[in-house]
Amino acid sequence: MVDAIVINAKDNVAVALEDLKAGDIASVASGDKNISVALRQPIPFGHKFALRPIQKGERIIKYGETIGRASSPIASGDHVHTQNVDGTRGRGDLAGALR
Amino acid sequence: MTIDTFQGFMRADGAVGVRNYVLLLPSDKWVNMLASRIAEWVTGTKQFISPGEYGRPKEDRELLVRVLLGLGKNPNVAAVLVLGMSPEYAYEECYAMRLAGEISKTGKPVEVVTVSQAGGMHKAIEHGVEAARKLVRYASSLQRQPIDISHLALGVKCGTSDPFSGIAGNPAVGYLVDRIVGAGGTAFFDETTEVIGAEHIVARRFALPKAAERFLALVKDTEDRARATGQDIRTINPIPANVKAGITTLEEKSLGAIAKSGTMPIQGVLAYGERPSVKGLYFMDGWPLGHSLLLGFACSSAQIVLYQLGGQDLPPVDPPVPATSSGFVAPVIMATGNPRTFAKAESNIDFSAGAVMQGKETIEQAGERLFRLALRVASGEMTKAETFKYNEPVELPFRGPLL
Repeated sequence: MVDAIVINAKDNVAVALEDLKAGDIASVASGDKNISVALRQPIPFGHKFALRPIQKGERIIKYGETIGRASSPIASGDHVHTQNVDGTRGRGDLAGALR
Repeated sequence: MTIDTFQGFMRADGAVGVRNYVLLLPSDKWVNMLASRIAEWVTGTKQFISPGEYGRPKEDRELLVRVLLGLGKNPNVAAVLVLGMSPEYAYEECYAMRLAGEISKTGKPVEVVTVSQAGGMHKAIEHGVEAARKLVRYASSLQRQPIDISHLALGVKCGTSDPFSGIAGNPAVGYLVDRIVGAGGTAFFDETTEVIGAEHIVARRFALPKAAERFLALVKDTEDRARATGQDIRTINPIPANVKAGITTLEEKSLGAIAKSGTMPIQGVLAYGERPSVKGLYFMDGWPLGHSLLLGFACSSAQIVLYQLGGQDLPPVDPPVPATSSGFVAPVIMATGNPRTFAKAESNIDFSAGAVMQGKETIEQAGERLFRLALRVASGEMTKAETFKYNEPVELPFRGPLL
């Protein structure tokens, strides 16, 4: 039984299949192999955590595609969500800055 | 190879119904009450609740007329009773006589009852009840027969998305779409906001470059309108329930949402409620209000609509589920990919792909189960939503302004 899955080999995040605790060593299904990731924070069912360190501004990849950019540095095993990821689309709040 | 079939009602225009309703169609908001009284008295009827046409610009009135005609022409409707104030009342495109004439072209029986011709509202109720009773007796004389699945049209939507929508629920729905479209049938998917961030993947699948351009222009228009709010779209969509369940950005939601469209080539883009002229897979331009999109699919000729519910953030015990009556004439199949959602809402959800999440089933196995369920529903098995006697008005995607 695995704790989390990687949807696409290009992804830098995994999705929790259980409610996982900080300090857990998550068993993560990635293609046909399993990898272990030490969790630094609790990861609720369905939420994402980083598979490796991610720099501020770096793309977050899920489904093999960009889902946003890191708004702060993210460590391996960190919870990846709105507190450290910004969307790149539909940003009316940045409209002036973008043009 | 065996050909997959279902038991359906062959209509005069060659379309096939999976239900056999008499539709009560108000040409005007003022006769919604007339339709309600007839629906109470006469079994086998379905009532559409009109949002009214007054003060709406032409484009919005045309949208309303597409809805009225689309419902009337839907093959699940055996016969139609058009209701009105007078044969020609209010805006020309909404005249009761015009609606009746257009729907009659399908060859199905259409009757008209108006307040002015009946001699007042009470008399119109009496006339309407009598007309509806005759029509339901006619409908009940029709028999189901074996039909190949190329006659099926399915509309699919996802809602209250959670991270399992994109991993299990929507991929299983995508398998169903592939199965129907691959056999020569028709399917619709939608939600222009919820392809933002995934539009490049969808655009590659259009059969014609012109259709792909139109699709991308609609997505750009929607994103421009989102930017014009001056807000980060993440504070609007993904909705709070999506974010709480673990969806971080609109791009992430969109990438999960498009899995419900399967893998087949896309024939084109339809306006809300527009009926396609050839079979195949279509993207429908629409907004993310689940109820109205299911209605739009029915107007575009879908006999069955499907709502793939994420639902992680729903209340923990026996929550109500959305869109119970929103197909009006098309039964709603409720599906989920989240095993926890199914566990708490099983009395309202027909199908779970949750075993995929638990590693006990493949997407193909779950999708095949869903396909078999869809065939049973097409042959007359009621969905859980369908067992409720409930009729909720649906907001249509009017652009306005009201003037």
